[in-house]
Amino acid sequence: MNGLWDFLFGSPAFLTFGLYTVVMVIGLALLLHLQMGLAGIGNFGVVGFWGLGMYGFGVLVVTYEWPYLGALLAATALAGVAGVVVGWLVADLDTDGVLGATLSFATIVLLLADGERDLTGGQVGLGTIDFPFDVGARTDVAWLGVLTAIVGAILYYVRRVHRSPYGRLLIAVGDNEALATSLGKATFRSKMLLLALTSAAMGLLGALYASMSHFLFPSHVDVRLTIAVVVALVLGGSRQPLGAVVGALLTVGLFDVVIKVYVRLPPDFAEQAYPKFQQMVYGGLLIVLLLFRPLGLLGDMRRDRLSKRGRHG
Amino acid sequence: MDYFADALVIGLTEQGPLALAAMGLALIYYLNGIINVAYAETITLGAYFGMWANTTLGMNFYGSLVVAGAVAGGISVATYGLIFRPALRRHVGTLEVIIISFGLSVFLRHGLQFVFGYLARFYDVPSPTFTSVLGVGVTRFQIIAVGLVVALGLALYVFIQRTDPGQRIRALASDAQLAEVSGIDPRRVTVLMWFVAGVAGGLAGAFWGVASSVQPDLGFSRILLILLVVVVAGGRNASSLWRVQAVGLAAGVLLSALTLRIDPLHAQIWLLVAFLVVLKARAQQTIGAGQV
Amino acid sequence: MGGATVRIEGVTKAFGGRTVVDVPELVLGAHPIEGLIGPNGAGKTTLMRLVMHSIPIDSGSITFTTPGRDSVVVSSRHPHEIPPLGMVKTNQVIQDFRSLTIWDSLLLAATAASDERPNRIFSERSVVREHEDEIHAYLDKFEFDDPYGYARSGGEKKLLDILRCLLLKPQMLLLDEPTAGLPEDVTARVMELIVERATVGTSVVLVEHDLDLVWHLSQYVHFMAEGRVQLQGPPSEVRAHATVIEKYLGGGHA
Repeated sequence: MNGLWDFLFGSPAFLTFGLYTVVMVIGLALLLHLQMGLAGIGNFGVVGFWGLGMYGFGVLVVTYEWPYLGALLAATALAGVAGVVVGWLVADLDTDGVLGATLSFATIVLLLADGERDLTGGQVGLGTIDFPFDVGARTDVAWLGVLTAIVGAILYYVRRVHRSPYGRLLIAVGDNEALATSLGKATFRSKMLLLALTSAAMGLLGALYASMSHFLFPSHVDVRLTIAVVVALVLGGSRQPLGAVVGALLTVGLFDVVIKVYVRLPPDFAEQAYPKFQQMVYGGLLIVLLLFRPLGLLGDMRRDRLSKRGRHG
Repeated sequence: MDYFADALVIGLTEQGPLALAAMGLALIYYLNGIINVAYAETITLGAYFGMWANTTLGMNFYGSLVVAGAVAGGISVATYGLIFRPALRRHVGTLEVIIISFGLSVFLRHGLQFVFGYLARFYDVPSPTFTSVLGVGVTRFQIIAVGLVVALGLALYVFIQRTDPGQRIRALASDAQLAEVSGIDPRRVTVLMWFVAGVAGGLAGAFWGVASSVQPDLGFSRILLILLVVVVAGGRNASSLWRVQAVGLAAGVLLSALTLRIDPLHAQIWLLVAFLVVLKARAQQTIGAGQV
Repeated sequence: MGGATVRIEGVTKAFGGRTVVDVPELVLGAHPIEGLIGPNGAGKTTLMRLVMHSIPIDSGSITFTTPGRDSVVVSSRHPHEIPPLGMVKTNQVIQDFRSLTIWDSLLLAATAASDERPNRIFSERSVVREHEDEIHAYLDKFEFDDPYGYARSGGEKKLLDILRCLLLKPQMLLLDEPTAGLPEDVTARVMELIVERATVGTSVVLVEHDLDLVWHLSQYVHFMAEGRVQLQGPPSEVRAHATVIEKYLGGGHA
């Protein structure tokens, strides 16, 4: 225990930041797993919901001086409302339409963050956003703890979904929506509701990040985050909850924690070339994985190992 | 009346490349049913190689256009052969192919920076002279770009509707299995189409590049609009290519019309919203496609 | 009689300029079991899909009436609203949930929408308890290779399709070529179930190519060809019009 304590609290700030990013990507990937891995919604606008929560929170706290908790709840709700709207838009679109609509949404969020200078400060940035509590010099580690608890709760929820009628419904919708409809399932409504809830959660993760980052810039709302989340999910396995965890550890964990902290990279390489190299690896991974092992490291769902058999089984 | 004339002229000339690129992406979509996000990099690399031919080899713009088109066409074919054809043969699903194309786009966009650097590069062309069209100043390159859009649209129409190879393409697009059985070699036809698509993209990239600058995200920053034009124009039948051209030009004019009234950032937002409205309105038509 | 009925009025449907269904007036379900026969391409499956609103009608209206309730114009309802009203259809082309086990699939059909909400993540146990008896009754009657695993053969998937529909306890059951792909003994057991249901009040419409089955089980037969209902009546009458049928079915069937 002492070793872990020293590791966390004695570590440089950017290790904590790296770990924070890993846990956050796990959270986002778990939510995308529900959307994409279960219900079959190809949401390419992850960073849009996350960014809306982040900037919504930032604007309320900095520009309007709202109290922390109120702003947090409002930002989450805002992302949830966006989820309802986007959900309504995409629930009866085909894959290409969902691509266009979700990417458009994320782009609109970025454009608003950049353009509404009175609200968001635009390129100048929005800040300063502090942690809601202060436990001394390493409050950032405590914040990492808060995030881990929340992502842990998301993981618990996702695992419970797999073992509940709701999960069965989502999987049916993702597998064969027309067949589910013919059994009387309200598939449009289910997809819309799913997007509302998961988008709200993505917004919450964005809002929490605002405190970690202290300063917000439109450049945060970048497709790079969506890519990181998608790669993590595809690598680990989009059909299993733990796939998000495994995938994030092996991508963000490797590149943003292990290598950055423990490998001594020459400074100008680290500054310019390393991030691009990282992106190339992510891109290449997506291509190779989906061609040769589309179900990722953990493979497909194994519901035959999961089903409750009832009294007779 | 002036406002509309301005919007029309600016829209067609500044955004002519948009329709060009949209037609290229639509060719791939039409034939293989793929929205290829990495088409953005075909555009970008066309611009880069055109710029390279212009600055390093000393070619004039028109010569560099040929290079831009040819190289982009080759890159397009290469991506087809190395990635998309294997994907299609393994029956990779629609969503997965989109993600693959995303991955390819990311890969190329960052890979090219190791070759060309990450700073903006510029074409070396004499300052443009402006001719007045309906009271708006347009450059010769812009006029050529629009001309190419129209010419390509016509050429494709004639080619696909009126020639033998075109008929094979139509057959292939509507039912690949049946086409193969009737002796059409899908590979040659498909390679040709991917080449033409690449050329269209490379040319669009060159026009965009010469008008502003050549940057790594030249294509990617525009790919959303391009794919929206293709998805909204929709359909995989022969008249789709006409519609893509029309929607592409209309989008350009709409964007210009909006930018003349409000700032570019908000103009883009409204354009995207307009696309979303049309997308949703057309959604009803996908009912009945299945077998349940 | 007094079972559920479907009234089809002035309904037409065309695909790409070609009319595939044209039914000015048709009532289905007036008898416990009715047959719907005709050659391939007659429009039988399309008609069934129009009734379930999987595809929209071009004109006319389709009304569903259950005894003791108001009629509902199903052609203007969303497709997912129709099964809860009491009408379901099996699929001619095999349809399946590839990720769900057989047990999953059946439980999915049986589970009520109120139990499938995002907040009900602890409800699995009670849902299972509510439905396990009836599901096991079906699993015992039909031997699946691996009931807690996935449906393997086309036959298993076809059977699963039918059982899912039965679990919805419909008042009107549209069966689209249920026996195609099923082994004979399974067919016999399925038909037993169907007849049982019909006896206690479910209206059954049987779209079939196996004419012996139709003559044997149904009290009324509709004959469709080229998108129209050409002939209707008790099996003996329809059978007697051998020439008409042969013209469409190519002989050797009467």
